Amino acid sequence: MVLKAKFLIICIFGFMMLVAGIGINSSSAMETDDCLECHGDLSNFDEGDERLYVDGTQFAGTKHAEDGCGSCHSVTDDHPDDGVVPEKESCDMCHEDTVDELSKGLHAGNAECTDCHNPHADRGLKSPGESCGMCHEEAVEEYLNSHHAANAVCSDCHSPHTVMSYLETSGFEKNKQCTTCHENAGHSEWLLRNKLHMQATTCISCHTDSKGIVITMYIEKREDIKPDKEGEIDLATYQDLTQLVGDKGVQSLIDTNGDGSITTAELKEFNMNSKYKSVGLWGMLSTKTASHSYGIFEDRRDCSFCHAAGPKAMQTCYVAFPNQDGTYSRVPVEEGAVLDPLFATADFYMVGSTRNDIVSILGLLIIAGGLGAACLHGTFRILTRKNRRKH
Amino acid sequence: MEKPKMIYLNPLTVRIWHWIHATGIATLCITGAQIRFPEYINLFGYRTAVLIHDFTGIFVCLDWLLWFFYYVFIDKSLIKLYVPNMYDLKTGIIKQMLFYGFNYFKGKPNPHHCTPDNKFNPMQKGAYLMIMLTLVPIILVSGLLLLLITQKWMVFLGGVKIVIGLHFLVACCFAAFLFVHMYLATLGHTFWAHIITMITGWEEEVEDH
Repeated sequence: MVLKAKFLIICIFGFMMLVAGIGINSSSAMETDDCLECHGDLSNFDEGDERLYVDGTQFAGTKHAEDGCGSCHSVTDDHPDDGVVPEKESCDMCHEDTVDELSKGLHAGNAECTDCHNPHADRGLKSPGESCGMCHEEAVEEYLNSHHAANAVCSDCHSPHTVMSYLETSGFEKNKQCTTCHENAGHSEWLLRNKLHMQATTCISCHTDSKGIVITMYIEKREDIKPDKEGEIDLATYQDLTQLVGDKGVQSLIDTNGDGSITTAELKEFNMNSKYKSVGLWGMLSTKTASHSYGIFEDRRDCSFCHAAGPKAMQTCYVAFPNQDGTYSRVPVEEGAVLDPLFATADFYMVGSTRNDIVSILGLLIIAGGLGAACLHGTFRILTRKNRRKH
Repeated sequence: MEKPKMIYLNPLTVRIWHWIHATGIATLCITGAQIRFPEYINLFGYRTAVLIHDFTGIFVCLDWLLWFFYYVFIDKSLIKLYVPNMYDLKTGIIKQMLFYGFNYFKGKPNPHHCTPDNKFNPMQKGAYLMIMLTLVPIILVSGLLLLLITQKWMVFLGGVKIVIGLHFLVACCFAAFLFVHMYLATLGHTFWAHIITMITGWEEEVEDH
């Protein structure tokens, strides 16, 4: 009796598998060759439907060809006579992690895989003009006109899957993209204090014609600072700062009143607070806008391009706080805070440009005092010269 | 005509040191002004100004060491020449101030008489002691910090702005001193007397100066 029941269950299960198998077959019955019979001939498509054309030779060289058309596009044997529009391709069946990554980034909802990738071509990344340029027209046009375009495409610098905006990315992260190829670009042959410049400036500040100066203060770890000559900047992570402030939110480290902006007084308070001795602010110069006109601009070799910009150009400053996902959120700082003479941005000084006017006036008064004393004495000396002649 | 009595006030080492220091400080003041106020002063190009400033700064450092070692270990006269004695502190400084402030204009003689062992008047002693043992070390050390070491070093000193502020204000004191010093150098018995002494080493001994 038990044996009979087991046999019956196996039979039912076998039948179900058979039906299911037929079902799968029926929805992707066509072989790649069948598909290409129509889709491989451009003349089969009316104007505007060219996107349905697939270059068979090109497709044969792709990894996707091994899986066949049916692995992405579900059609019946009656296609196209059945009038059913095939479902859109589903990249996540194989590229689950990448699609997941994309769904969390800025491109989610704004771009699909096939906007940038051509799955029917070997190394199917579309050209910048056909992919990124469809949305970022101005940036791509600017980029394609620069010398850089011959050596790198958009995705060599920008990760199109984990898209982060210009403001969400730290200056150090931006520079890392450049040093991937330009690893020896130390500029030591002409740039004084070159390592310091590399740590305190974004590459694109000089190598694009981006406009406006912005100083972004990053929170760095200082526990391990030794009085050595050179040191790398070790940025504090979200977790590091959470340990310092608890569940109040990392921005409360400096923005103590939580109003979404930082005053000079709040900066001073942070810098003077012995509780936060293990961290400090590292200033980095970047630009207000991000241009894609990469190149070598000779005027940037003239130090006065930045150093003679004057205190008026040094008004805009932000503190960039790390987020849990590795991005940064910028909080605006009171205008002119970087010009404070002592403790607001105690460790950021751009010679010439972030000088403090009060200190300058005090210094000039000292000089005027010396000069004035000499002039005053000299005047009396001339007026009383007769007295000395008598002696 | 009787030949004036000459005294040898400034040996060659002192004169070399003095003129290196003088040209060095003047160069540092000029290039430093361009470095701080580049949009107003552009004499050499910014990079050149920084390079001249760096190089001259190192040279003046070495020159200060020459001064220090000469007076401490060779001439052994640092304390005698530069540190005011009790007389200087009690009455000498006041007499000297009265001389520069009033008596000079009345045509009265300088209360201080230069000798090789007592070259400086009480006011000079105080000023030079302050300059050579306080201001020069401050500006040289802060300058070396700004020249050689990244901003991370400054964290230990309270930040780069403290170092740079101190460096600038002391530099301004030097600029002020330069004007006063150059003017006072003309207050000898003739306009050029003290200046010639610093070139030849010899000074004419004059009763009323």
